Amino acid sequence: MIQKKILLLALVVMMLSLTGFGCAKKAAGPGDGTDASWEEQERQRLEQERLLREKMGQASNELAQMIHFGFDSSELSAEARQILTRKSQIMNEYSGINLVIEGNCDQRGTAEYNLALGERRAQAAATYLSNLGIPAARISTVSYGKERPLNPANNEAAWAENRRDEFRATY
Amino acid sequence: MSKKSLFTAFLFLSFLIAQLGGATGAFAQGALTVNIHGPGQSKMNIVLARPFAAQAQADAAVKLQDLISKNLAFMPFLNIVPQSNVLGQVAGPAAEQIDFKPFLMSKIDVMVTANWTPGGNLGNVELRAFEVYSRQLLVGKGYDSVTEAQLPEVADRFCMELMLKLTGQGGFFNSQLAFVKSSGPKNSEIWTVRPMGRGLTKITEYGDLGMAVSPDWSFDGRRICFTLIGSRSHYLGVWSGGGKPKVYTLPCTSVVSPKFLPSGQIAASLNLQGGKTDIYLLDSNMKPGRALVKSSSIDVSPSFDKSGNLMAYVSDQTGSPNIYLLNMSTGASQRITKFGYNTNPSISPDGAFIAFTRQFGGAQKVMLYEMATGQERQITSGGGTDENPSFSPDGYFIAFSSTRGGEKKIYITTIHGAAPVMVPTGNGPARMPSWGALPQ
Repeated sequence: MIQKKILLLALVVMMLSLTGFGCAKKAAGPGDGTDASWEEQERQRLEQERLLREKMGQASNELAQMIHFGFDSSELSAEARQILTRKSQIMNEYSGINLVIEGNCDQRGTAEYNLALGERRAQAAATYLSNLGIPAARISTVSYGKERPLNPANNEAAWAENRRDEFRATY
Repeated sequence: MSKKSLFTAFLFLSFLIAQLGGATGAFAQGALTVNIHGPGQSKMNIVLARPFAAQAQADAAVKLQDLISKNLAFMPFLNIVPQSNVLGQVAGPAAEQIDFKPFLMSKIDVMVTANWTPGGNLGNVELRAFEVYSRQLLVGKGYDSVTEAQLPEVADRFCMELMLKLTGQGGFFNSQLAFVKSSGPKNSEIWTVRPMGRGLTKITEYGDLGMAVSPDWSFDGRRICFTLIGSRSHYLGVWSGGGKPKVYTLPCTSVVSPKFLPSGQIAASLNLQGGKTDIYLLDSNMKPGRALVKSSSIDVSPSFDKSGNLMAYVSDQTGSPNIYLLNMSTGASQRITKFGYNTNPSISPDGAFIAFTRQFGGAQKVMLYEMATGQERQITSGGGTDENPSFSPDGYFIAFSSTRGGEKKIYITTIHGAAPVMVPTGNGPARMPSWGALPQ
């Protein structure tokens, strides 16, 4: 129990020490000079993000609001632009936090093309936020393609729901 | 399908007994021109005669018969007919001991016999396959001192010879599949299996930490590369035949569709320049080298023939994804598909065909493009969606994933679009097959 508390404290200290700095767009990983395995690094990253979300409270939920896209498109709708504008305000308010944008696709397309399309959707949001003055170093993107559907059904409503960007506050 | 069209060449045959693991019995063979066309055409009927074996070898004989039967059930163009359905007499394993006429009348095309004799371990076995119409021996193989553990290999080798005779290609029984299985919504792992369903093995263990997708076998069958989707980025995974896969961090967040070249190098689609993905060659340290395809659009899913000179890929430079072909020597690209949403190219090892998927409404179907004629045709049909076609190393079969049975599973068809046969992959959905040779 004590060890767990010490570990959590260390993670919080590490997280706080990172705030206020522009985070590199590329996450750390094997080959970056650390001895930890990829799995261990990933575990640490996720735990740090969980603690950050707890700390941010409601702002974290607002930051997480998704945006949606048309079929085979990465064009931002008026609604999406409005949601992104609000995110830029939150990010200006919380100058120490960064943002991971996760691009997702519907089930109709095929997996590999959708991984690329998901990246394009994530980049569309990232570019918009950059244009609003959020430094590129505070934004990173990852595509899940069609690997993480919110709705696994095979109909127009489900496809529309799955064509989305998700947003995650990070350190 | 007439029997005359099935077997057109006379075969001069002699039977040799050889050691398992060494040279097996071989026959001088003429070339057969068997080709089973079209999903709607009738199958070739085959009978596995009751094996001839002494009491002490009865169990082994039944086991081998069962293994051969299970193997042949994966050939989409074969129909295994129980011997009891035919009244003909099979008094012994050789042609002169078989009354072929009733089998001919019952439209049986091929008969297989097994003859066990006492020897080391379980004993010696001779396996023969006859063409019923001509009564000619197609394949004859002998295996000495067979052990229990060798029975699957004996079955594979015999079936490989038989398929070589019937289709000109025998690589099915000498190959392996890599594929993706998920045990939760945020989890996918890479597995391997023989196409007959044996040797099911999980090779990654990321759990909810990452999703391993898009496996691809190296041409020598010794390595698998794949995309590992982490919480902040994609990574390149490389498994080298055992142990934990190596994970490589690349200087970009998207690592899509990594594929082996025949040289052992890997090509992958990377977003080195913002939101667009281009196809790059990686060096031996898995660092991006020269771009193979670079445009202002999405370029993904490279697929190489065994010469390494042809690369099929997907680009959406015209607005929707289409299949293109790059000549690696000249650098010239040619558009292959002219309309629709086309993805997932798999070029045949000899470069003669490209299998790919085309979207029809909410579903994908597998298409086949023939290089020589420029013609394309649909080779899968029916319910559900069919994705990720992957050529077998011998270029005759195509594996793909499909929801035709409800849950996504892996199926096998042929370049002629034979009725698909499901590959046993255990519980849960299975997808993204990649077909590779067994290491030699």
